Amino acid sequence: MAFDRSKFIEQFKSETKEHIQKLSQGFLKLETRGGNKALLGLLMREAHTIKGSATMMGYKRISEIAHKIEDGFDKAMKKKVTVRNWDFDTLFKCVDSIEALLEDKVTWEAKGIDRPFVEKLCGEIDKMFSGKAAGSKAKTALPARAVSLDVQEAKLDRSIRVNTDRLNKLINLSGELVVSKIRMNELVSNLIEKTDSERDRFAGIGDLTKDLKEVCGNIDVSAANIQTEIMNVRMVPVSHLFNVFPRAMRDLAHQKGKDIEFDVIGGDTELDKGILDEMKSPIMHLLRNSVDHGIESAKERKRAKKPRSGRISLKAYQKGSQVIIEVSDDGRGIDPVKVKEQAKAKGIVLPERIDEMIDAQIVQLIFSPGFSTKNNVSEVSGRGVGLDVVHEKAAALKGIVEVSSKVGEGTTFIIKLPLTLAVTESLLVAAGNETFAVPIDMIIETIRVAPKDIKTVETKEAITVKGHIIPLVRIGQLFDVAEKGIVERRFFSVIIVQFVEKKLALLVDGLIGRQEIVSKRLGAPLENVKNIAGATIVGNGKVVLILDVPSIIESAEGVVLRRPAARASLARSTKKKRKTILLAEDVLSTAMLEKNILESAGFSVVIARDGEEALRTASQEKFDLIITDVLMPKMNGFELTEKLKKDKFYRDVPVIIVTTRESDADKRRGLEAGADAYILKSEFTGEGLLDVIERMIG
Amino acid sequence: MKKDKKKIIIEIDEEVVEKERSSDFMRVLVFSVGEENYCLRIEEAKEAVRLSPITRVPNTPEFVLGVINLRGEIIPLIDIRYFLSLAPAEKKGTGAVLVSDVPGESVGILVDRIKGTLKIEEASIQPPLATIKGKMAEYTIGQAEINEQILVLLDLEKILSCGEIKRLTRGGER
Amino acid sequence: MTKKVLYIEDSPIDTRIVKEALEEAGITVDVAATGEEGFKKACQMKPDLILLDLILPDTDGFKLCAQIRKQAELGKTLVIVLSVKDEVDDIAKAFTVGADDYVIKPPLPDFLTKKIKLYLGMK
Repeated sequence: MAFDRSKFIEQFKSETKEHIQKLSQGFLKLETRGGNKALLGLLMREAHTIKGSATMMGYKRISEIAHKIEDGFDKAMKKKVTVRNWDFDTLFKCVDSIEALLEDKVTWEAKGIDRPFVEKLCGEIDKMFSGKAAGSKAKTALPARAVSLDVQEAKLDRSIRVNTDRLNKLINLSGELVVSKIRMNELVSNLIEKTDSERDRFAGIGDLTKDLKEVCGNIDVSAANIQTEIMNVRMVPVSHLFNVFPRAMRDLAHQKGKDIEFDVIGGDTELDKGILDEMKSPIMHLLRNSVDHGIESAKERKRAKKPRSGRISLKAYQKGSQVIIEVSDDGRGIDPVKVKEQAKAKGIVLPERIDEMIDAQIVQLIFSPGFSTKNNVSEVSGRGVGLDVVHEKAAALKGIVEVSSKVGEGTTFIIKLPLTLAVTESLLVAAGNETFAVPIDMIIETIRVAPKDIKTVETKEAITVKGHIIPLVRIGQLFDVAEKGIVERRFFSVIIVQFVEKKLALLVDGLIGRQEIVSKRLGAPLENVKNIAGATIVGNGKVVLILDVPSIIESAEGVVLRRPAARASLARSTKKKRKTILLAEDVLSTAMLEKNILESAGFSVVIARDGEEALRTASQEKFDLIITDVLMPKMNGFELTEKLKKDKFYRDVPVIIVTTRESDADKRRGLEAGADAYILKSEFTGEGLLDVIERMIG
Repeated sequence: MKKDKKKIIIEIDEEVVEKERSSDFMRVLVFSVGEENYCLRIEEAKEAVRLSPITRVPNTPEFVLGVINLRGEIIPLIDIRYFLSLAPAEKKGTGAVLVSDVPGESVGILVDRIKGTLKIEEASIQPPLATIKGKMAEYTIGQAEINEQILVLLDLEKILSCGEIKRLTRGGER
Repeated sequence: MTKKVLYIEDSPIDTRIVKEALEEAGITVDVAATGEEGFKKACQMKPDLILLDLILPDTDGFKLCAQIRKQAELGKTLVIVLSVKDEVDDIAKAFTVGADDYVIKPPLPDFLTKKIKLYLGMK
């Protein structure tokens, strides 16, 4: 059978990419520090390797270019020729061409790498190495550096190449293993509980379950280890990425006509491959920013008595569970005064807030979306162009980006990233037939709440926990979950969550249990879906959504309960028997308006003009609901509520307090008096009120 | 790693596709929705799998059916019917999922049935019929006739980069 | 001697998909679009193997399979049902009416060709 290349193509591509990176690094060394025999030999061997495998795989053009390079360096090394004029642009062009040729036809054609181009390139290489016969030395030689280079190359590389897709699959599988493990533990516990009473009937069952439990324990440990180890496999040295930058910086500095020294520090620092891959463009962006706008022109530097060449460094190090990446320059720095002006002008922050900020806080504003656009590059040293993108990228990876700068001295961008995207512990909850996960670190407590303890405050539901009124959101309603059928419930499970200072009560249909989950993305078009942070796969293979608690808390503030079915069922219920409402309101126009709204919704309404009259009327006829104003002559709404709630006939009749007042003290006073809901007059006309009524007596 | 073969309907070998590529012929993946047969360029599909249980995602437009578990990876599932101006399927939980990498990462597209792959002559593809209107016309490259049976060639790339999906990606409201 | 395969299927697209896959594997296929045509062709050409769809415009595949099985001259012909029906009942029924094998549509790319080659003793 013929040699099937296709299976090896991917491997060939990734290997060749590594070799050309080494070539590129070597050329860079040759250019900046001059060459020596060892370096020339190394470059020759790299080219040779590329040539060999390219020939084998049928990449003819790559093999031709590599062949010319190999030949040239071979001659140079053996001192058959002396290269007087190293043509580095051509050498780098070779590297770029080979890289492009690894891609498909479209890519290389788009870059103009056609046959004549390759031939011309080969000609240029030949020309470079066509120097006269041996005798004179190759450019400068720096043996000391060369030694260290060789040592580094000689280090034994005990690794094998693993396709990232495969690795990701392994991670997914290990995640599933952890989940199944949890499920198994549950089952074993159940089994032990159930068989405990049968011990006498089945001899030896106790030993069996004991053994089983022990085995489960072992699997627990192994599963956890597997997961940690697999996560470790994903850790790669940042040099994988950082190695591409020296070359890019050379081109950039060249392009901009700036003299720049570029250092890379901490290339051994390890980071999750997935995170690292995502960091390429943000880092490149910051570097470009430093070259473009950080480093001053030669003239300006001279005036500022700074060394002629600007310094830019890229540094990585680990700090606790974070990896820090820093991009710093010794350029002109960012002027907080200018940032302040622009932030004000663009309305990025409220003027009164910005005046409270210290300089270090002000410079962070350059990450704000819309801070700077391409049109005003020159303003504020041009910093901020697209920096919001860097910020967003870091945030997406659960990291943060900061900047510290001193005018005239330089700027440092600091990106803090998590080591790995790890496993989180969550509470699984049920809503209707669906399951959701709530991250444990967001949860303060879980409580049980009786339906009567759920009050309505300004058309929104709330409960009182330890004297605090906490807004309540029904997960089922928030997510339009089909209800399981109406079941009278004595208690609801409620989870109290908190983010920053804000608390929220989430009402669910049931608590399923705690689980370690591996958080995953929902996939591109669903990345920004409201109130959902991600998803995970549970034991039975089903996907479970993870709640985005911060965004739920935020949106709960502006939410008016959506009850799509409310109006329909309202109409239905009124057909059976018209419910009667007692309306206590002293202002006649308001009373008539409210009566109108209620009657059009199908209720029959009786008006009382003050608290006393209301109480009297209530004693003559049993109403289904009481709605009362607060400020009324003779007896106010709070007193009326209190009195009604003490009456055994009215104890269970809901009372809604309607008021213009919005103070918390009033709300509390109302709820303490025993009111079931508290509504603002301004909301009376909305559907909110009818929804509240429906919920109470519907 | 051994894949769960039971769930896979068709696996597409990129290298084979690459080798086959020519300007005269194109290989398409044929599927049916309702009574009609449709196809898309094979390069736009990665594989086809049987439908696994869908998890609904709230606050999304109607064409998002939810997410599914594809061998431990979570992928969005989109209803092709919306883009063909067809009413949502009556029978829930049936069908096959076309997995595509076109948007840069995997997306599932729910169709009724996968039929297989076919090589068709580029020249045999006629421009879209004038009778095709609205959304559907936008997403149709053309059609081929195979013994009087119409096979509509869809532009998956266009479908997956349509305004609705872009809006959703940006986090716009439903 | 070359082996003869007859494919009875009404949908031209389905026909082409299967025919193309088999021909790429070196198996030549004759086709028939209706049950009647299929039966006629089967009697004439006496194929080594018949691929049979279950849903046909003029008859159903089960009946046709039973009919084929009654023909003495087709005693050596193998019948493989190729259908979208994946219910156990349908599969069982196909075997009761004399099918030799059953493949659910769409078959994995190599699956059908390998199977047919095996049945036909091809390499």
